[in-house]
Amino acid sequence: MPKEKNKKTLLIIVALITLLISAVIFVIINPTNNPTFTETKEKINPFGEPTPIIDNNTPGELVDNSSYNSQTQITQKLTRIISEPVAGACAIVNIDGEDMVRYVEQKTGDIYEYSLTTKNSERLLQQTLLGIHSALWTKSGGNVVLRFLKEEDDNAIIKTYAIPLANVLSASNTASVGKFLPDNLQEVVMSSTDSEQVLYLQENNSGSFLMSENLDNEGERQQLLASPFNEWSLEWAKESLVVLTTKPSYNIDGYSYFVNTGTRKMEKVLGEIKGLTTLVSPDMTKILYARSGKNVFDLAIYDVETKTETSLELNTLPEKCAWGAENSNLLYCAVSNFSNNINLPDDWYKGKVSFSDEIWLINTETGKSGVITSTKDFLREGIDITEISLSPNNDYLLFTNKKDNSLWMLKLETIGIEGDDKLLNIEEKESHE
Amino acid sequence: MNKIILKAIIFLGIIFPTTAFAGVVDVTLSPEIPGPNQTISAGLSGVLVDLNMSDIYWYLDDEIQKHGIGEKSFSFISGDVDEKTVLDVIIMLPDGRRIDLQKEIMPMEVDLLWEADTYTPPFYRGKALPTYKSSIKVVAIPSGKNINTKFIYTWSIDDLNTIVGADGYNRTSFITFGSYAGYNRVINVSMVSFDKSKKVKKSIKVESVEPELVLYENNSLMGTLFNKALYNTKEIIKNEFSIKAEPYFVTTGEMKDVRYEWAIGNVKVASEDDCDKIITFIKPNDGSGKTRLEAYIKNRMNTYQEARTEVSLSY
Repeated sequence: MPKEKNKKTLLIIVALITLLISAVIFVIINPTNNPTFTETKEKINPFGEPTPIIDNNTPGELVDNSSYNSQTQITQKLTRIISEPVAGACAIVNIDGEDMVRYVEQKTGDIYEYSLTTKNSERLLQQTLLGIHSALWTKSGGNVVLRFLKEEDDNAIIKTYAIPLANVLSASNTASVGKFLPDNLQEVVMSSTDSEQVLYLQENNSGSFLMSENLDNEGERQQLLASPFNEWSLEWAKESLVVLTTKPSYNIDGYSYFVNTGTRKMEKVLGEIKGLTTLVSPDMTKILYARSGKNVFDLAIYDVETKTETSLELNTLPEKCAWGAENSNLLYCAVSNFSNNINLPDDWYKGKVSFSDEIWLINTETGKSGVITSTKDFLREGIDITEISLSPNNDYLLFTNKKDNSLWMLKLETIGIEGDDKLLNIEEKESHE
Repeated sequence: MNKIILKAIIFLGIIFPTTAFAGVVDVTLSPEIPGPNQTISAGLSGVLVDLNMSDIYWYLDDEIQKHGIGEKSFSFISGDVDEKTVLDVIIMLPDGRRIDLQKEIMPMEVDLLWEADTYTPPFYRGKALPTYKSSIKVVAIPSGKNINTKFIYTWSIDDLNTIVGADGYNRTSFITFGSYAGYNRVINVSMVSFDKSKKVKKSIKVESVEPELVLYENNSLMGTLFNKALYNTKEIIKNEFSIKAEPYFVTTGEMKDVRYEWAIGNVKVASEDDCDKIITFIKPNDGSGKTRLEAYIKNRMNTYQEARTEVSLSY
């Protein structure tokens, strides 16, 4: 009996030593020292499982204080930086090289600057504007346009108020800070560069006019295009080119046109695509678009030069994605598993459906894609991501949770910037041309 | 050898033109106005000449494609948008006389965009959809090189009857009205350039829908929270909770004629003129519970435009 016991102990010791040696060998021969991925294609979390969090965070609170994977020491941070509803935000780097986020509070219209270093918000401009629907920023955060409703004689008027914030902050007197653009503008876009121009569509009985206006005191206005059609969505990715896309609806043909603001010529790029929604790359060489019709939902990239398209096989709308700031091969998308019985994008726009997103990274050149994180791991009901953008240094994503308009950021610094490196570590999902 | 003969035929045709046969034989295309990359069937017709006994040559852009006795038809594929294809037909009659025919095909493309004059809440990013009798504007946008060309437009709907007064020079848009919900309206346009060298036809179907009613929280500080519709069950935490009924797709010009009816727990909420878009729910003092809130809208000017919705309020 004692002999048998000794034998058993010996066997256990041998097994433990074997396991230990295997583990050491594994760590040594792993060339990238990166995490291994054994999960399914649908959900690949290269950073380990983060700890569940509570929902009632205060502004600036780090929701997940980093999740550590003992094998990799890779951390990730998804932070709810502002709990109060935000109308719009932009990521900037200040003159001291600090990462800052400028945002407009939905309740008051007050403009704040949040420091990612100190995690404090400082009010830059106090307003008396209640219920801001949206705030549109220029890339540098130097100009902002506020959109809100004002009841006048039983009519709700859409007001658009432009603030040249950089000028206001440098001036001593901030009594009169901005100016109102025409009432009831259906579409307004800010320059993707640091230009002080704003573009908008002004409607009348005969159609719509694409106008550009300077936000400086002179306020020079210019008509760029007249169209007998009104229902356009605007995108302004490149200084000289504007994209006009018909407003979308499920199973209804949509069309996209490029408008050269110099020559004022209009050129069709996409057409007869059901439920068409688009997101143009910064260099305007690619268009991410979704098709949504009966028994079909498709996300694809259209190459403007080669006129070819590549299906991404991901379920999301282009407005839930952001292109890499200086690399049109990289695409960050908030993706969720939605069923076929919802009419997209209509139901999402109406607020009748909301999603719990995963954030994916896609290399449009190689076709590799994978999950960076799942918002459900950080917030019980997940985050329905909207207004997503990439910081100037490509080191974090900034976005709003459509469910409560809280402002969030996801740090990307630990997983590299070039994309290919990190995609090597994420299970591939090949695209289909 | 064949090429030499064909070139000789063309040369002789130039020396001795056959104008006497002009209009006697015709080449017809099907479809009559081809689109880009479309299969086109070309055929010859003429009763005063014996085509069955004639030697017929078919050319595309000066390249012989087909020839033979009695070859009266030929199929080919049109080019891309704005790409010209020249179809030549040479008919050598049994008595030695010759007929030359030519057609130029330059496919054009036109997009028919439409927009319904129906109400959607402010800042709605989607398309306004047509409902019964709502106005629908259809706009023709030619593609490619012709995007700035001016055309003569002929518009028609459903039964293909031309709409009087809707056709004419540079009439790029056309207004019609929505059919019953679930039914299509077919809109057709035919466009011809001033010199008649460019032609294009296009049709689209526009289906009407029922108006829709969606409930949202009306927040005193933030306005209407369009980001989150109220449906199924809404848990009420505050003592007072304002709810706004927002119609979708009612005729824009008739929004002032829309009447709002509310019912809480199957009891209609009294209202002077049924114009209240907003209702405030006040939590009862006696504990928790659940009640059903119903909202109904009706366009007084158009009884087909009505909608209802409901939400269960839990408090």
